Amino acid sequence: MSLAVRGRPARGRWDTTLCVCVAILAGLVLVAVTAPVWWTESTTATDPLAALQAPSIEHPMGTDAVGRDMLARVLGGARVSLAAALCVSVVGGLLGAALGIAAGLAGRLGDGVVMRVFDAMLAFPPVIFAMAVTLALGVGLVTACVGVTLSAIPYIGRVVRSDVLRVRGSGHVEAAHALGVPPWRIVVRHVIPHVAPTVLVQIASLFSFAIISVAALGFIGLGAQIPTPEWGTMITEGSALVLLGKWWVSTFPGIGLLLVTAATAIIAERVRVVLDPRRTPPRGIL
Amino acid sequence: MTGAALLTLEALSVAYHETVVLDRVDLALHGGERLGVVGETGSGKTTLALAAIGMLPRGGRVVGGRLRLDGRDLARLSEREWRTIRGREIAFVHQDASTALDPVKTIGAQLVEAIRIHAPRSSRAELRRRAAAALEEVGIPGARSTAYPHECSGGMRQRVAIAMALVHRPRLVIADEPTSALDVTTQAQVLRLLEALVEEVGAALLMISHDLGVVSAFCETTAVLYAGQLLEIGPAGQTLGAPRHPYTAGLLRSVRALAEPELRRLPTIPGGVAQPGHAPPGCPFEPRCTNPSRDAACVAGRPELVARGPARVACRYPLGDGART
Amino acid sequence: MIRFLAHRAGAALASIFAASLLAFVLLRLVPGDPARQVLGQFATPEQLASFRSENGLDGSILEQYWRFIANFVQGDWGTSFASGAPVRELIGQRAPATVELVLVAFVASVGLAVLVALVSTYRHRPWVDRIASAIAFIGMGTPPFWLGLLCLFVFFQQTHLLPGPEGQLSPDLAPFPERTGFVTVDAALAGRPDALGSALAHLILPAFTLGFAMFAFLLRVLRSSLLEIADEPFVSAAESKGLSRWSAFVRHALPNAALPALTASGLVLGQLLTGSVLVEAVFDWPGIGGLVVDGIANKDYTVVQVFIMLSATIYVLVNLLVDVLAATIDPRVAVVPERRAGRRARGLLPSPQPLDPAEPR
Repeated sequence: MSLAVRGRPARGRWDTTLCVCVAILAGLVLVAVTAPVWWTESTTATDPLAALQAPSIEHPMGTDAVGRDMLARVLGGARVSLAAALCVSVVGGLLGAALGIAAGLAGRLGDGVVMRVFDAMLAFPPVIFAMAVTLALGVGLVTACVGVTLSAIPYIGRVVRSDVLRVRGSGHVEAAHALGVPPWRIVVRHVIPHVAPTVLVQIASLFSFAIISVAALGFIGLGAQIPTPEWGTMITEGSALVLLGKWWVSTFPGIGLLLVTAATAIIAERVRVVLDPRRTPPRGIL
Repeated sequence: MTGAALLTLEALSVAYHETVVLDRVDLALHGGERLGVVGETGSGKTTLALAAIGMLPRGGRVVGGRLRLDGRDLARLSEREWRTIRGREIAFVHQDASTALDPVKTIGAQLVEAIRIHAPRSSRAELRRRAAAALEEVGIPGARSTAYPHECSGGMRQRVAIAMALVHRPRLVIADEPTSALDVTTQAQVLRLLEALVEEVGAALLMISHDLGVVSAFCETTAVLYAGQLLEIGPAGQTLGAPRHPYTAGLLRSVRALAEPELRRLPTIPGGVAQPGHAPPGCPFEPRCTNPSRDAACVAGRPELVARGPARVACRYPLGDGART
Repeated sequence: MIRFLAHRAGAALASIFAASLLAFVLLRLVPGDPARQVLGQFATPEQLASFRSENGLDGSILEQYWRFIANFVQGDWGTSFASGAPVRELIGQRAPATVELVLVAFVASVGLAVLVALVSTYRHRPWVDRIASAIAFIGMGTPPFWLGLLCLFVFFQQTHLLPGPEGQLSPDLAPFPERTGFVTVDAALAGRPDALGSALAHLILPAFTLGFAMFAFLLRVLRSSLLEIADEPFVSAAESKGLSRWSAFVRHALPNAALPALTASGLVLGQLLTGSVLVEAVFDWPGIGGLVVDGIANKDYTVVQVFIMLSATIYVLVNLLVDVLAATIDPRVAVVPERRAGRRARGLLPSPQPLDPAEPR
């Protein structure tokens, strides 16, 4: 009887939760990406006569205040939100890792500078920092993504840096250095393989954070602007309508957010259990 | 070692889920006696210790036989009744005090807790006084009671554990490998302290160990466990000086050989230790036994404990009986 | 310990300074000329210049920064463009509402999380694990603003069980004197059970919305560390002294397990600060969050600036407090390492972390 490791069922048994999450995520992505093919309603065409219709066969998710088909908008929003989160997590992960590696390998001064900058960024609650950046650069979906990316970098950077410091202390790096191996080779051959699993895990968790943060910024008006469909802004659009009983404008985007965030968080956790089992809980993002 | 037995195991069997870990063990410990239980990993010695204080882990339960303290059937006790016994009549000294002490509380606070459990109406000052006195008893200045475990050395922590165990003058002290985590010098100090205190308090000592040297130095009686069964029990000097069971003899051969000047090859017992639940139906040691007298009867049925002088051996052909023709 | 405190306090101060610099730089980048925005297109250069000098928008960057810092520390937080009122006054007026909301949400989440974590780990069952995990992930994935709307829809719009987004009190209540600024306290002090009831009813949904994510997250952290710690020898060692399992669990396992949760709770505050902005928008709560959202909508960035600086300051200070508390609970923490691998890496969506003394911190 092989015992279940916490967070993962016994070997030989299907990890149903993980399968469900992957299925949900894959399904959503597939549906969203292929939507323009099989659901031809426009995401932006307004039709005031058809405004605020409850879900029906014709409009399975109803219509919003200006008559746009909600299903198209939700799927369109999925494309936007997922793409944004992907960019944020990959770019943020790689940049954060790069900075973390640089800091970890650098001398006292270089490391000190990077850490001070990180400390400054870390003084802000993450989403609020993203807010500040977005305001500074001008509101919009792109700047919101930039803001969220920047706000995540110090977290990833710190985790990677501490990993790098550990590698450095373990002797591989010093030995290679003593043998005259050029720095870039040290990084590629010794540091990166060691750090790669952590970075992957961070990227996976960052995805969750990104989705919900971009949506939050959208909700307060700092993210995607009209008429781009994005789940956060759509929820705002529907907020006044909820009180009038027109629940469908806000509900579906929210369900989408919930599903994606929770599914990716669970997947990220499983990824971590596989790639980084010795550190029982992870540090850094998720 | 006088009078009626304090702790008796009567054909006690303990199982974890379906695996039998202790198999009909018969043992008697008298007041003031020091009994050492030796065995390898998987022999069931820790289980024995835990059963004697009613703290078998989840899934473990007594599946046969009796466990008695002064004739009182312990296996039938409720949790509440056990709580009056633990710490007061039976005390436990854990293997590694570093992990057995709460890292976020001072050693003084933990002593106070140990005292207060069985003296709930004592005043704060009284508790502190008794805690300081307990520390002094084990050679730690009372002023150190505000120290945290990580600020103490390993030997000191073990002494704190001993102090906590003896503070209510228990009648039985169970020590589970009390010095495995210590270096040799500290080991000796701690053991001498334990021995002295146990004698002063008049408690019986049940010491679990895999270290034959420790047991031979500090215990009057030795019991040898293998695959959950008791193979040999007798006065330490005799059991370890002139063992009757082939297993004990094998163990001692490998230990003694270290002192040999012309050691060629370390004598070992062939084969691997029987896993819990996988002991053969006959003598559990038979597959590895090199006793020339062994025969088919050894495979067929489990040997009973037979008396050989003051000792008892679970072997059909105990060593030193003279060769069978 | 003193060295540790001094070191931490110094680091906190340095953080705040660095943050202020960063905030200043960022906010100076904001597009649009505030002078022109306020005075309009037809303002003369003299008017613009005098506006700028009044509001500290002239001079070199360094001078501006110095004035910014000096003003902020002294409490002069500028004037809101939209309303003309000093920002400090605006924030002062609206702070109690936010504090009330955040406090209630915080206390409820923490209390419930501790309780549920204790009970669910005491007798460890696999199905309890699953449910708790599910709650945790759903909680962390639910956008608070959406949850608020959903609650409003179900409990207000459809069933009228709870009040709607009308702020802290029913508008048709007879007014009562304001003494502390906290509505519930004032209502109690004024001896008005109807007002108190109304205030509490109005608190339920916003506090739940704000606290749910926090509850889910804390539950996860606590359960994870409790499960780890419950197997530690010192818990059963305490039992062998005669303690009941429950007592041993609560007195020994919980304090040790609380540490990672405490560490993570600094981050929880960050979530609360952001969450309050979102939740107040949904429930029309008269707090600072609402002020910020309005500020963004009206491009009244002075207010937003101050909010950002304040958030950073509070965030740093609370994390400092958390570090100090952690050191009090577990003195092993109070080490001043030389060159260490960063402070305990707190994540954006952090996960349960038992303190591993072997890890470089």
